Amino acid sequence: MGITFWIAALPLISFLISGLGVFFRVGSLKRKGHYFGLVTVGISLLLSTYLLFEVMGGRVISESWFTWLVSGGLSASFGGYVDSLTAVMLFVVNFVSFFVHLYSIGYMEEDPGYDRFFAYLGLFTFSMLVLVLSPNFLQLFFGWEAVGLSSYLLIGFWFKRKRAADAAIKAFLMNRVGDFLFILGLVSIFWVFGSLEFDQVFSQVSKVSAGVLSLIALLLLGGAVGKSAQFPLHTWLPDAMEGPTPISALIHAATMVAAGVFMVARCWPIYDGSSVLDVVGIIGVITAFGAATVGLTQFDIKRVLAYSTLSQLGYMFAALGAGAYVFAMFHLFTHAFFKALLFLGSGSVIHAMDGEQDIRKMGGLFKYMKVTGTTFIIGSLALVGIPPFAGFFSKDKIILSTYANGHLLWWLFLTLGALLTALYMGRLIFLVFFGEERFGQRERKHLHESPAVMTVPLIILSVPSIFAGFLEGWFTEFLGRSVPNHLREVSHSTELSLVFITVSLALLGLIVAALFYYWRKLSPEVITENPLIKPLYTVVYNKYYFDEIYYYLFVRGVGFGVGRISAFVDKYVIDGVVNGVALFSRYFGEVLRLSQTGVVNAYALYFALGLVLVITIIWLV
Amino acid sequence: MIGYVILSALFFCIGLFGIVVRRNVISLFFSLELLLNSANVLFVGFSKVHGNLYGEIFVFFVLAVAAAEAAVGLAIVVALYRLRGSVNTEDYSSLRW
Repeated sequence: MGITFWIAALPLISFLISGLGVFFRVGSLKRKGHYFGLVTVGISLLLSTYLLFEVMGGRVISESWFTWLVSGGLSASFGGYVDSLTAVMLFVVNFVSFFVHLYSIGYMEEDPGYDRFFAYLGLFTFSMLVLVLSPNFLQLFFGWEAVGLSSYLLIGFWFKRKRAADAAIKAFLMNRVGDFLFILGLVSIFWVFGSLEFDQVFSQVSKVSAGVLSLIALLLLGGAVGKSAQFPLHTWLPDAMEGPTPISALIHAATMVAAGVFMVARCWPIYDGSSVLDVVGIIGVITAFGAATVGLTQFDIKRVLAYSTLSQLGYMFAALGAGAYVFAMFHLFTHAFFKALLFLGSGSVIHAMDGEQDIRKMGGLFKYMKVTGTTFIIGSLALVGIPPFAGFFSKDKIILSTYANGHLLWWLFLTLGALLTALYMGRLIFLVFFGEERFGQRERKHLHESPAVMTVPLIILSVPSIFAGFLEGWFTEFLGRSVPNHLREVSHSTELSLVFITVSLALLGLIVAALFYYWRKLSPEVITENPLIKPLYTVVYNKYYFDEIYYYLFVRGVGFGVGRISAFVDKYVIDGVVNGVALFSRYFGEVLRLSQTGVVNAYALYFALGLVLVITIIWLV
Repeated sequence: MIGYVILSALFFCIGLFGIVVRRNVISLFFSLELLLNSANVLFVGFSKVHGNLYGEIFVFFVLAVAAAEAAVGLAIVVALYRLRGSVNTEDYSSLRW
């Protein structure tokens, strides 16, 4: 029970205090949730910062908390394993979580579920910390499922709204598909390696054939695809935007969805030994490019950001697929800051617009909310990859690594994705913060800059969004101690020209966005109404009809099919058995009651016959 | 010794037969006494074979119980006769399906 235990346990304490306070309606704990949350996560943040420095000094901390169960060859224990990979994740999770706590004080101010919200935040932070600290697959799975649960609770936080409840169930079910594959992966690992401890599994990887490793890697990848919302299990993430905005920032942008990337990076020996890295990369590239196109067409501020998250997670997967584990983690690291910033900023905008999320009904907000506007633009520039903001360094490294490792097609699509990123973020900024004011009287009356508890987190998060990129050299060396970075050398001039292409495309994207939405030289309708492009636009606008396809294929198709069969079985087999037993008893009784004649002699006869029967049986046996 | 057993079994079977076929309650009663006394025969017979008096002592108990039973049983028969005006068991069959 050392320091790692307390890092994970402190948020749990916050959850327990606030949660029990809500459950038992303790009056003295009412609207106090943020105290426990801020204090516990704050201490946890300090502890993980301390650990970060310890690990930087060359230590690898391995602590055992307690043994959960022992059964045959399986020994399941909980513990904390902190190498540079975990140390960075601990810091990022606690850092973002702390500022989301702070921000939520303002954002959730008027919400009746104030304490419940902070309780769930504590539960989520605890789950994520358990996940990243895990020294074995079982604890990883525990954290994996626990973050899924907290995500479900927080997406459905406003469970009285049907759309929120539906989105929560959708997220849970989509994750379940991935988690099912994931648990199959765990079972295969135990089967093949006879252990679930990371060190024991990874040290035996070389003895296992590539085919078996590939199968395990694919199954684990299924889990990662579900949790990190990659194609084809990505549809839950945009719907998850029904949750409160701080949650979108914490869970659906910065931390939980990164769990898949973290898991693949953690299991790098398995992936390196297998032949599925290409699959990882292709999934990433499809998601990165596809989600970026959808992001270009959406009108809900949070949905645009959600698709941008999908897209950026796709970049991370592409980096993993190219074997550049460190760069994937680096992008995760920088992305966590600026995406949390963007979501919190969008929350501030939504807060100011009294719940309005449609960017067509905003515009010109910059002069009303300068802090939100400035920080939002900083976050966007970081996301777009304009130097010297953080996203430039990390995204550029990913694009470079795909090129260097010979995946030219990936490189092409990721570079185009960078252009699209610039386009949709430019569109978002110009539509929300500049141009004419398209909101109504009600919003205008409500319009105000958010309180300090909301703007301070924005300002603080914008600092790493600007400067985190300069940590690249340090980060590469530091993470390089835990995960490898397969990267073929490219000449300096090639690298420079690649950077030049990416940056100029990003700038081009911003300029084109400005042409459309700021200077209004071009009208987007000209393109979307063009008969050649309109069908394509419709497909993209409807998110490639994934929801509809899944609805008809699984909900209507498989779901109704299974439903019909179940109904038949229930009606005729199950009910048949129950009714049959009843009918049999009834008719058998009808016959049997005839023997009850009321005449004493008959009963005496039965008695005698019974006696004979019993004696015969005793005699025979 | 087998003779006592056969005699006892004979009494028992006659008694059982009587209980099953006779409809007169008084006859049923006699048959019942016959069942009890078939056991008594066995007691006395085994007592003689083993050369002690345990069996014979038991017979006295049985006779005492049988006397009490006869008193209760006959009282029931009298009550039944007063109720139904009959001693035929077929007239007592109102507890039937």
